[in-house]
Amino acid sequence: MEFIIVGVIVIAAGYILYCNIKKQASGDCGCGNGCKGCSHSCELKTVNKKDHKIV
Amino acid sequence: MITAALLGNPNVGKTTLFNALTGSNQHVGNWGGVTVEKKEGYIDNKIKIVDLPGIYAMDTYSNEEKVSKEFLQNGNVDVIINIVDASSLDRNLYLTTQLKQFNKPIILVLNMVDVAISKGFDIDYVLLAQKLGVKIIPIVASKGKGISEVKDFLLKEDYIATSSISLKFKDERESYAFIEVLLKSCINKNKNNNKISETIDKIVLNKILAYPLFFGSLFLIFMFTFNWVGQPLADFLDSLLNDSLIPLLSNLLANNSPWFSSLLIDGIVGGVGSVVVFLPVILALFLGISFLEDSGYMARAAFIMDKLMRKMGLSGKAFIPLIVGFGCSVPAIMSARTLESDKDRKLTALLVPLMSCNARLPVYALFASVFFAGRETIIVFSLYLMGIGLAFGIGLLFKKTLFKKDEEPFIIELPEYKLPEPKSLLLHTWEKGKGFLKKAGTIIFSVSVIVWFLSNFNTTGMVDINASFLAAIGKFINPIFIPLGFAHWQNSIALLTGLMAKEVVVGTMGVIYGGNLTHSLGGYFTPLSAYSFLVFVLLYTPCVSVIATMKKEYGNKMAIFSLSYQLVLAWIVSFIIFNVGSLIIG
Repeated sequence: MEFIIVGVIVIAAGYILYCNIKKQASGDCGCGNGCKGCSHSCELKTVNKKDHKIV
Repeated sequence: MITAALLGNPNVGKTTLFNALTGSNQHVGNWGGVTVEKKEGYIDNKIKIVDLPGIYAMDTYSNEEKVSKEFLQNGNVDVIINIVDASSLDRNLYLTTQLKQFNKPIILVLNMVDVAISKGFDIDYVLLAQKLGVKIIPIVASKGKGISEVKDFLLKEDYIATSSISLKFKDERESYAFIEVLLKSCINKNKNNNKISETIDKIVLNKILAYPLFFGSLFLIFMFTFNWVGQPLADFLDSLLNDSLIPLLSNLLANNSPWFSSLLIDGIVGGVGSVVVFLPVILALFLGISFLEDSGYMARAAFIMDKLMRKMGLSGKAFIPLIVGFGCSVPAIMSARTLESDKDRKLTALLVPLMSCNARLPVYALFASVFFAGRETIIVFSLYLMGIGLAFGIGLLFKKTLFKKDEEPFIIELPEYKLPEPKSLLLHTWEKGKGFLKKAGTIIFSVSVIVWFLSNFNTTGMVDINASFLAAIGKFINPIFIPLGFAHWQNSIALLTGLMAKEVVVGTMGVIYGGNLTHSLGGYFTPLSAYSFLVFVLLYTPCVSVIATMKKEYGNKMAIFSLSYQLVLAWIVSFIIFNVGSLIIG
C-alpha cells in the first residue's frame, strides 16, 4: 500500500513539474494571477501576454 | 440584436464597466489575424457589447487601433459606448472627437466622477452633452454607481438623440483646440482642491528631501515586513510547523516504513512547509508597496528616480519596468515594450532581473532570521539596494558599450494623493499571497518530492543522502561555488533547483537539511558565507520563465546573453563579498 501511495505521489509530482516546465517555457511564472498583479505599479497598462509583437 | 462597441483609453475602468454590464455572460477570443484579445458580452440577450482594446487614438498603426477602426467601420455597430476618465477629460476626449467621425450614436460614460469632484471639477453634463452631441451618463464603476443607468439606456434602444451633432476636424491640433474651448465652457475648476497634493509634492519632490524620503519610506516598509509584522508572524508559523505539526505527523506515521514517513515529513511537509511559513513576509511587504502605489506616491518615486537615472546615463522611462521587477521579472520584461527605442527596451530587459523579485523573499527572510537576528531589515534592505545600485552600474556600462543611444524624454502623470482604500490594498496583497500559495502547491510541492526521491535513491535503491543521485549532481557542480564560501553540495543543488522558481531554494533546503532549517542551516554557513549566498540568489538568473520571456521578446541571443551575464555577475560579486569580507574579518 505504501508503495502505491508513494508511486502515485512521485508520478503526480513529476507530472506537475512537467506541466510547470512547459508553462514556464512559454513565459508564465506560475503564480496564476496573470501579469496584472505585478504590472499594477504606477497605474501601468496591463501587459497583454498574448501580444508579443512590438508595435 | 443591438451591437454596442465599448471603447476608451487604457486604465479608465473599461473592463470594470464591461464586467458590470454583462456579468458572467461573456465570451473571450481573439481578433482574426492578430493576437489582440476579443471580448463579447450580452445584456438580457438583447444587447451585444464588444469590448474593444484600450486605445488613446485612432490615427496610428498599432494592432489595437486597427482592430477598433475596422470593427467600427464594418462591424454593424449600432451604438458606441465611450468610457472616459472624468478627471482627465482634456486627454480622454481626443478619442471621442475621433469616434464622432464614424457618425454613430455615442453614449459618453464619464467614469470616476468622484475623483473629478475631489479634484475640484464641476462638470456641466447637460451643456457638455449638447455641445458634443452625445448622451452623457456619469458613473463610478469601481463602486457600481450609475451602471444601472447605462444598462437602462441601452435597453431602451432609443439612440437617435445621441448623434445630433457631426464633428469633423482637419488634424490633431484642431481637435485639441476644440476640446480646450469646450472644457472651458463646461467645467468650473475649484483650484483649492489641488492644494493638498501640491503641498505634499513641495516636500516629497523637494531637491534635498526627495531621495531621503524615498529610501526612508522603503526602509519603513522593510521594518514593517521584517521587524514589526511579517517576520514575527512567519516565526510563529515556523514554530507551529516544527514544534507541533511535524511531531504530530511523526507520531501518526510511527508504525509506517521509515522511507514512507520520510517522503511525507521530510519531502512534502519539510519542503512545502518551510516555504509556506514565509507567507506573512510576502503579504506584509506587498501591503506596504500597494500602499505606496495606491496613495499616488509610486508615480512620484518614478519621477524622482528619473533624475538619478539620467545622471547614470539611463532613460528615465525605464524605471517603470524596473519597479514592476520588484514584483516579478516576467511582466517587467514585457512592460519594457512601452519604451520607444529598441536599444532602451533591450537594455531595460537586461537590467530588470537585477531588481529583487518577490520569489527571493523567502530565501532572504530565512537566512536573515537565522544568521542576522535583530538586523533582518538592514540585511534585506541592503540586498534590494545592491540590486538597484548594480542595475545602475551595469546600465551605465552597457550604455557606454553595447547600447549607445540618445535618451528619451520621460512623461508621467502624477495622480492626486489619496488615502488608499482598504479593500483595494487587501485585494492587491492577497493576489500576491494567492500566487505564492499556488506556487507552493505546484512548483514547490513537485520539486520537493522529486528532490526527496533523488536524495534518497540511486541506481542500487534507497541509500544514504551522500550516495544519492542528488549528491552526485551536487558534487559535480559544487567546485564552482567553493570560492564563494558556501562549499556544500546541498547548497549547489538548492541554487540549481532555484532556477525553477526562487522559493524552491528554501523548499529544497527544507528537504535536504530536514524540516527545521532554523537549527540546521547554522552547520553549513557562516554569517559571511550566508550573505555571499544571498547575494548570489539576488543576482543569478531569476527563473526559467524569465529566460523564456527574454527569448520570446528579444530572441535566443539576448536570452543566452542575459543568462550568462547574470551568472557571471552573481559569481563575481559573491566572490568579492566573501573574500574581501574574509580578509576584513580575518
